[in-house]
Amino acid sequence: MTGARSLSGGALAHAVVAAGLADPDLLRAWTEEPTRLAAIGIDPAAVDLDSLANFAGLAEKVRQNPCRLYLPLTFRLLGLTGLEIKLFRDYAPESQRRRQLGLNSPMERVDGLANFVERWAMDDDAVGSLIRDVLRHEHALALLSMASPVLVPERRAVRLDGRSVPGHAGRTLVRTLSCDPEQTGAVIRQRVPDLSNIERGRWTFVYHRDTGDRLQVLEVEPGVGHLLLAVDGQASVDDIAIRLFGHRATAGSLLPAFDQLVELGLLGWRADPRGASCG
Amino acid sequence: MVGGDADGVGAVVGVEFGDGGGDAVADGAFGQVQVLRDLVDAGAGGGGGGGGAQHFAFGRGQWGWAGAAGGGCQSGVDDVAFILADSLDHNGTADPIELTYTICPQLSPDTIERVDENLRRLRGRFSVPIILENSPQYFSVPGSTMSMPQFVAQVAQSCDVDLLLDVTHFLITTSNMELDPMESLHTLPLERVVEIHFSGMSMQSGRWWDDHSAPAPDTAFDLLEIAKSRIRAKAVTFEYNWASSMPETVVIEQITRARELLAR
Repeated sequence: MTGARSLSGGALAHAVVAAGLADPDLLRAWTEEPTRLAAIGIDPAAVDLDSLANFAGLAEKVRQNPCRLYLPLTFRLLGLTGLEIKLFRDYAPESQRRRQLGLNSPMERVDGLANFVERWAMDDDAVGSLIRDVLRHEHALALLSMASPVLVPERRAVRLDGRSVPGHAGRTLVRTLSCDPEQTGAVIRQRVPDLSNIERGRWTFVYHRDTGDRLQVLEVEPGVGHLLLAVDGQASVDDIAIRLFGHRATAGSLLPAFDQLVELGLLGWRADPRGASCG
Repeated sequence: MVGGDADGVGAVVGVEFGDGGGDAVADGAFGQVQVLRDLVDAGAGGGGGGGGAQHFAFGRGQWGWAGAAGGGCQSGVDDVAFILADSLDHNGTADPIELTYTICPQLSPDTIERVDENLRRLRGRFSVPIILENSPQYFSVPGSTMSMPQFVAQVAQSCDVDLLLDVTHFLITTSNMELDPMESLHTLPLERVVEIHFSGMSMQSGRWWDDHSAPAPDTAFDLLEIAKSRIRAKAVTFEYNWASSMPETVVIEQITRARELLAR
C-alpha cells in the first residue's frame, strides 16, 4: 500500500471501501488492527467495518444467485430465518478463493456453498442444521440431475449363488437429515410460513437416478442407508457383512435386504470381478 | 424487462427477470445493455485519465432500459453509486478495483463533481436522456457531508438531470440511516422523477437490505401514494430478477396496484 497516501477525499474513501469488499482478509485485518486504517489516512472510527462486512455478505449473496435455480427451498429458508447476510458474509472469503480457482459454474457454486454449510452449521443449532439439511437435500437432487448419464456394467436382477456381488444400478446418494424435506417444503412454501410447524427428527433418504435417468427419492431405514453405502460393485456380501458387522456370519441375513433393493431397482447383481465365491 | 402498455396511466410497467447473478448484466434487454456496458467501460474504466484519482463509474451490472410504447420514455439509467475505485496500492499503474455490486458513494461535493463529469461524458455518447437512480444506503462512507436525499437533490440541480426513484432504495436508506421518511421525501426533487422502481427489502443482521427476490412491501406503495402528485412517472419497473421465479399472482397484483395508484 505504498501509494495509498496519494489518494485523498472521496477517492481514498472509495478505495478503502472497495478494497475491504474485494478482499475479506483485508477487512478482517482492519477489524483486528484498526491502526492499519489510520496508516493510510482513514480515521478507523469513521469506517463501519461491521456494516461493510455485512455488505460483502449481500454482494456474495447476489453473486450466488445462479444457485437459486437448484436451491429454491434453501434460499427461501435463508430469507425466512434472516440468515442470508450472515451466511454469505461468513462464506465470502472461501467463495473468493474458489472463484480465483475458476470454480464458477452454477453447479460448482452449489457444491462450494453446500460444502461450506456442512462446516458452518452446528448440529446443536436448530436453525443452522435445518438450513444445512434442506441444502443437503437440494444439493443431492442437483448432483443427480446434473450428472452425466451413468454407464454401468450389465446387472442381473437375479443373484447367481456364490458368484455374484451387488452393485449400484444407476447413481445413488444417501443423506441423513434432521427434517423431512417434503414436509419442510410444504411449510416453507406457504405464503406466511410458520417455521415451528417443521417436524424435526432423523430421517435417511436415498436419492437414486437409474440408468434410464429417472430420479427418485426414497425414505429408508438407517441400516439400509449403511448397506447401500457399503456397496461398491467389488465387495461380496461376505465382505460387506464383515465391513458392517465385523464378521461374515450375518451375510445370510443381509441377502433378503439386498434382494429387496434389487427389486426396487437400486441394486443389481453381477459376476464377482475377482471370481471369488460369495453370498 | 417485460414492458406493459401504458393504458392511459402514462407509464410503462415493467418486470425485470433474469439470473441477476451479480457477475452478469441483470436485465432483460441484453442487446442494448451490452452495447451500453462496453461504451461505459471504455469511458469510465480507463485507468484514471484526466487526473482521475477516483473512478466514479456508472455500474456495469445495473443498466436498465425502460422502453415505452409510443416513445414515452427511453433513457439510460444508473444508480448514483460506484463499482470501480482506485486500488489502495495505487501508484499510477495499478488497476482499479472492480466490484461486482454497486455501492453508495461518499455523499459529498467531491462526488457530485465526479457525477457531473461522468454524466457529461455519457451524454456525449448517447442520444437518449440519461437519468439517475438513488442507491440504497447501508452505512455512511467516510467523509460524507450530507444525507442521501440531500445528495440526490444536489446532483439533480448541479447536473440538470432527471431521476429514477427506487422507492425501496429510499425506504432502505431512510431506515438504515435513521432519517425521517417524510422530511427526506420532501427533500427529493420529486418533480424530476420520470421512472419508479420497486423491489423487496429484508431486515437481516440489524440492517435493511435490498432484496430482488421478494415482493415490494406495502410501505413502498404507501410512499408512492404520497409522492405521486409531484412526480411524472413514465415507467414503473418491478425488479424481481434475483429469484428463479416469482408467483405470477403477486406480480399481477402489484402491477395492477401500481397502475391504479398512478391513474388516480
